Amino acid sequence: MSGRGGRGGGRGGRGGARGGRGNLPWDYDPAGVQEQPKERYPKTYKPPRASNFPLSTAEARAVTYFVQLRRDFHNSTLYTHKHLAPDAAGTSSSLTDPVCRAYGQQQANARYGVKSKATVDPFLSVPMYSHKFVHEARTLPDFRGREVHHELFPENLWNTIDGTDDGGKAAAKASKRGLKRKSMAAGGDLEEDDEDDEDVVGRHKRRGPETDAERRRRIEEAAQGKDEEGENLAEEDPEEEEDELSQEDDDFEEDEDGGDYDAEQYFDGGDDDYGDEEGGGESAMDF
Amino acid sequence: MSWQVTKNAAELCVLLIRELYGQLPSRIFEILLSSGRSTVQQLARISSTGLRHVRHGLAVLVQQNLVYHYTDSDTSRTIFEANHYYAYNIVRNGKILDCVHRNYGEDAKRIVHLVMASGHMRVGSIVDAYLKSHGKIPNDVNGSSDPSNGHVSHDDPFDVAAEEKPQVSGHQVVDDIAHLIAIGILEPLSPKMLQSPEDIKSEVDKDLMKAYPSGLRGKQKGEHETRVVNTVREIRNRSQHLKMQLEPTYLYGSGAKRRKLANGDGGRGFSAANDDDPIEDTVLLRVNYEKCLVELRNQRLCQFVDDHVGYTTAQVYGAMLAALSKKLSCCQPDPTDDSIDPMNPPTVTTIEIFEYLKASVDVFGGIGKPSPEQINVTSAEKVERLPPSGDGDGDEGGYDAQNSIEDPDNDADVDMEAANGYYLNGNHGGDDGEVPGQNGTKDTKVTFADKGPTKAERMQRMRQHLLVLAESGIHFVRHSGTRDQGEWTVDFEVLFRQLRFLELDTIIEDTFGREGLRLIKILRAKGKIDDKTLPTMALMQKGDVHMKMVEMELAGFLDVQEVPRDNNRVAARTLFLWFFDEHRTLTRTLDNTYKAMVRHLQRLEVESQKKKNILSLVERTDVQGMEEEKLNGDAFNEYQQFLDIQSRLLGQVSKLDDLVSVLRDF
Repeated sequence: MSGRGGRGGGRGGRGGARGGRGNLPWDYDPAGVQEQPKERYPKTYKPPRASNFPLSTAEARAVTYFVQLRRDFHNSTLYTHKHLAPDAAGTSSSLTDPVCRAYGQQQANARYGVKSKATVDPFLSVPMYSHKFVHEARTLPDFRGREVHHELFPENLWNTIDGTDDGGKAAAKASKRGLKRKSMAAGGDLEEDDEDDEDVVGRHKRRGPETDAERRRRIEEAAQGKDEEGENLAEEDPEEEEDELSQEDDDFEEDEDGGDYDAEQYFDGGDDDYGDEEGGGESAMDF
Repeated sequence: MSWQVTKNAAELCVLLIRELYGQLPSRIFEILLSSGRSTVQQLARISSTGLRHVRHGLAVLVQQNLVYHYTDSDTSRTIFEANHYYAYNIVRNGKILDCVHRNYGEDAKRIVHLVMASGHMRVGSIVDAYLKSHGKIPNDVNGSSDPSNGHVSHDDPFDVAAEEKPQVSGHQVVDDIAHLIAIGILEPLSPKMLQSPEDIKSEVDKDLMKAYPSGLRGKQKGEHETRVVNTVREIRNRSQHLKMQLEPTYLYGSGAKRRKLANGDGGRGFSAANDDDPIEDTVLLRVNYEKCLVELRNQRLCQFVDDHVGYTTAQVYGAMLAALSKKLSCCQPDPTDDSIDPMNPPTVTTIEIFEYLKASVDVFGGIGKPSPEQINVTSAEKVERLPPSGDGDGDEGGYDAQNSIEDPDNDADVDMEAANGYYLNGNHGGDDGEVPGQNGTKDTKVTFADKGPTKAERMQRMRQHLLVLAESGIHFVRHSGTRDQGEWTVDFEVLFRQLRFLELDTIIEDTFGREGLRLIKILRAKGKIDDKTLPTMALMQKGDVHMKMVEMELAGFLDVQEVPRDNNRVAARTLFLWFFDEHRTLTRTLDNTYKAMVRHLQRLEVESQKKKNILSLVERTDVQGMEEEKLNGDAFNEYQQFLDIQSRLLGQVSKLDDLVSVLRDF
């Protein structure tokens, strides 16, 4: 490289042929740059200190409003609490290292604690007077008692916003009783063949694409009350009328499964879950 | 409106959602960002969480307008897509509330707060919630207790006493809501608006294609394209219908004016209050961030003028922008929309501006009083009918010639001097009374001392401020006509190009010193420069120049292009051209800013972990809102410390967002 450079210079008749490596722009003089780690910050780095730039009135007000907004939302039932698993992987080091390194989705999920009987702190779970002032840590937002507008949500979320999304427990129960049901609904897309979704999806598939008017009517019905929908549902599956009816009734009762003391439910909850982490905790998470 | 979601931006959106809406929606949003459009089942599989969790998370996201969803009518399969635009705007919530408070009063702010907290709301439930919470002193968590925020309540003209207000009736709340809709801060929400623009377009496309069963050919293609664009725009404008309906009463009517001047300070009761409620109870509303951005932009520009010219001028400019923004619905108009002509931006007249000028602004200050012969009336009153061409920053030569050529009033005389003379004469004809007023400052001063200024005098002085702005090198204002004592407009694109450079310059100067800034400015002015000529041009030592250039290249602000002079690419016979790529520097700076914001939010999380015990105490419902009484000394001090840290961190995040706004959104 350098030899050729010299030749080139000679041919051109220019004196002082500098080799290939002379005063080139990338010939970076390392004297000016700290390559090795030093005790102090490099001179060029002058971080501005927050104390030198106090917030202006408007900025302080903006921060206050943001905090107010945050508090208002955190007090609402849609907020899902941030830290639930104090011992989970990743959180223990988070004091010094806020960036959680999680490899794979499993580890990432493990950071968010599970709320189940296994994770209850025995010292604090005894009912105390002060508990009535403390918000229960939620893992799922609670849409019950909120005003929701069905027309803005896609249909497969309607159960959720009505507060009747039971995580497919009912459907699983049904499938245990009669396997034929499952095979029928599975006629369509395999992906859609998922626990509770088969109710909604399967039904519409059989009916074929619906018109706008139909959709509007259904939205109205849903807005009016869920009881009618429950009846509709039962009508459409005449062969399983019994099953469905009793199920739907169950669903729309306020306290669907008798909490922890429902002996029939007790062992049922575990085996139909989608992921492990919900196992056994299912009933504790319903509120 | 469209910007790239880089890794850092995605992380920022996720953190913001986690901060405000909790962990479940943020997890779902993270996956939506990283894997694109997905169905519920796909989300569950990728996140390896239960379907039930996914559905609940999605429901919250839909409630807060953070996802688009689209249900295919044939397969009835629903697809969700992240709406990063809304997610990023979470960071501006505080600022927007402050802005609404400042411009439209306490009540408006409360309404916007309610809508913001619940994503979207029915008019009826806003009224209910408002009436329920009214009377109760607003959750003044930090405002009163935080020492750093303590001064808030003192010099706040509108924070004086919320309790003194008379009882508010539902009518008045609806009135306030209608006013906000007319301004554009709240917008009616329809299910269509929760579909992504692409989905709407493809659906329209599919619908219209039914008219051509045999496919498109030749001319039909173009026709079809325009029909699709028009239908999409029609769908988009459907939500504007209510706004249009309310505008005459609330923006242009007499009531609106009174309200503006009173600045929401108990200035209630305009004509519409007596009529039936102007909006139906069932209308769904959400916050329109595009319009909010316009308001924030006004605020930011006022700050710039405050820094560059002076306080009084900034106030006048604020009034001008307020008048102008009535005619603007978003910061960066859609280039495909042909109803907006870039050559003819909306203008405001002096009289309109004067209506928006607060009575408390003393327009007689802020400008020096030179003697009449020092003022060149010709150039001061110069009218520029066309926006400056946006190629260079600050070369004035081009505009005049261009303007006079295309000026329809000009009698085919392209001579520049003649053109200016023409304007001068025209001005003399129309505003004979004002030119002496401009020069004879002494007279004005006397009358001010004697009997106080009249309205006309005030308006004249205000006009002087606008002229000062028009004359400054940065194109804050363009004097675009002479109707109604002068028409004014702002060429936002040109203006923000300059302001972007200003911000970048500040960053460069802070990082590389004055020499670095000088080199970059030279490059920006001259384009690509050979590294041999650069030192002579910059009047610097060759070694110093190289050092600086390489330093800046490593930081990504500059780049070098090699152009060999002959076939064998020898270094000695190669030209090295340095150049400054504006676009790349901008995106890079933006990404770094997102990163900084991410770090601040992470830090906030760490700090709240550290003070976990005290915070869990504060969250108790019996302590919330009265921390000072309920907490004991030590605990309260600790809480104060946390609030201090929090306000610093969040304050810094919002300052960084100011930078992002200037570089990207305005």
